[in-house]
Amino acid sequence: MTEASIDATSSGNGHVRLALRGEVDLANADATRARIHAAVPNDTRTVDLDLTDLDYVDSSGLQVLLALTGELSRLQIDFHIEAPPRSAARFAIDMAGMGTLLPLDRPDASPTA
Amino acid sequence: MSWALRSAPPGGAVTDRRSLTPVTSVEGQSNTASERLRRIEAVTDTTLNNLGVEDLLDELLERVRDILEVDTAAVLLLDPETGDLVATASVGLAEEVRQGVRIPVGLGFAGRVAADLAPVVIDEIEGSIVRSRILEQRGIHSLLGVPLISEGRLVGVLHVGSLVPRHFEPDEVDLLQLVADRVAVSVDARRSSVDRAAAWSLQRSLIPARLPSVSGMQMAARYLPAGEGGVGGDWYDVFVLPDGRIGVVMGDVIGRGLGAAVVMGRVRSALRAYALDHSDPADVLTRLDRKIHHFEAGKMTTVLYVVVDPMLTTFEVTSAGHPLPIMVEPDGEPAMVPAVVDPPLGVIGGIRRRSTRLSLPAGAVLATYTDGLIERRGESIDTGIERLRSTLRCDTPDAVCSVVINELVGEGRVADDTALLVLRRDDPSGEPLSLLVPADAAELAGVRAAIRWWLAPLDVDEEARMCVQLAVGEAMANTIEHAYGPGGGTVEVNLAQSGDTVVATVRDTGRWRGARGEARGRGLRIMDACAEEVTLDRTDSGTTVRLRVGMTRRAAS
Repeated sequence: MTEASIDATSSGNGHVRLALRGEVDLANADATRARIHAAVPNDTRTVDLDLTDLDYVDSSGLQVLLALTGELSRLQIDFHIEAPPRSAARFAIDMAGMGTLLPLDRPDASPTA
Repeated sequence: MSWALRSAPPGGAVTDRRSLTPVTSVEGQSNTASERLRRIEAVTDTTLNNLGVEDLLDELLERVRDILEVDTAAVLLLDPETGDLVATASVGLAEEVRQGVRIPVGLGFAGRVAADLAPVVIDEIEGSIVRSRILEQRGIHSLLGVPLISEGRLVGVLHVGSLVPRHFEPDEVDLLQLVADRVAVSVDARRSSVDRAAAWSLQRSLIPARLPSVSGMQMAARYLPAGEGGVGGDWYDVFVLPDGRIGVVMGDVIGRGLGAAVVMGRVRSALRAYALDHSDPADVLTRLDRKIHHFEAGKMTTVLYVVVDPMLTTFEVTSAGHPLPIMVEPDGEPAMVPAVVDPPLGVIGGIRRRSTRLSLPAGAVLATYTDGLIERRGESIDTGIERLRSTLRCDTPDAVCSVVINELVGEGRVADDTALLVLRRDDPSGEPLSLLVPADAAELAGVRAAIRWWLAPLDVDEEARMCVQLAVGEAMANTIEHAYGPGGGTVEVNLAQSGDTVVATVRDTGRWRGARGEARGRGLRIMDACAEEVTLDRTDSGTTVRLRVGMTRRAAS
């Protein structure tokens, strides 16, 4: 059975950071979506979703990311996905041609900029 | 426990050292004696050959009582485990046998005969010389006891008693010793053949009749019991643990015969029990050590315990005084694995045992063995290990076993028990991967793990590995969502290498309905992007998706 874990940290000023690890596929996509929802309280202003250490994500998992993008946008919550180049998540996003549909941090938005 | 013959030979001159009646030997036997001797011949005639130990003794004691005209006759046999004499057969002293009277060697009348390994005569019982209350209550006045000795070892004691005061003459002592010698040999022969048979069948029952079948791992074993001196305490064991790890045990309880085999059986069971509860092999042997130390004191045991992980790519090894396995990698030189050897089990308490994790390359052979295979009289153990090392090769386990036994043992019988267990991890490169699983999302993770395992030895770059997993995963997800109704079905996944590409097929036997949801559309797009070629063959009897993925994707792009 596919396993994923979510570590949520809140900085107190409405900023929530979620680190998603493990694997997300058809088997646990719905559960993962519910767990992300549960980790985002109503007073949240910004959400950073860190996919750096996610080992695998398939189209079902990408669908969760896309839905989340829409949901948080409607709630006027800023949403960023961290999926650095060469990460498994970035690779799947690129293969699915979803790079422009998700709020990915652009490579030039690095701390040196 | 064995007792070396250390005093006068049976029937020879015997001086009673405890100032009881002195006994002297008679050179010529009287007519009465030779007449009696002829009757003794009858005691061990061939008609008795088929009797078991108890029946044989009963028959012999009857005849002894008649010939020597005594009232009681009894045989006590030595229990080698405890060193006690156990009343085994009697005439006129049935209670002693029924109550299983045990007399320690050295104590009482029979114990004294056993300790001296020489005849003892008592004309008139007095004081505490007799330990068995039954002898006392029976009203015995005079006793004659002789040791039962076979091949220089004490087997037991034969004694006769008289209810009226009597002095046993030297020729009567000789006569009884003569009977005792014959009794000893036949009892010993019967007992050791029973023991040998028991040890043999016990050991047979404890060594796996068939090795477990593990996908991706081949195994073969040979076990050669010792030619002389009885089987020893060697054993090997292979078991699959609940989490899919494979436990491999090679062990040797020091000692021989039934005693060693019984301890071996207990140690084997205990190890299996600890293996279920403790994942680190060093922990398993630490606990086994404590168990042996406490319950099998003095039974030194060497054990090698190897645990292979479910992916078969690594193994952990821990050794309690046991020679380490020798590994042969494909195109490599055989070498003893670089692990630590801790002291044997059951010797010193409180040792912190260690295990070493090593990688098991695809196609590698791992040979475990007991010292019987490498030890030869008059040469160092290193010579034996070197001979084994130079004999090993990267071949099927069965072929490796045959070559090693042929080269190291040959035609002769082994002096010590010899066990050899050879494992070989399959080399999946070149071999296609074939999986048949339920069309259920819960299977996806397992299929990905199998694909990673299959891809591991191939020259495939990281992006291509991800592409194979993604493309097959999406094809499977399609099947799971669309091929079957609520009753479900199966999906077959095959992977094969073809030139510089991996060809994967995902096949079901259902009838597809139209795709639903956006994710499926993305899934098809992922398959297209990951594979150089995607073909879909849909018939009434099922659908096959065929994906061709380049192995050096990064260089190509």
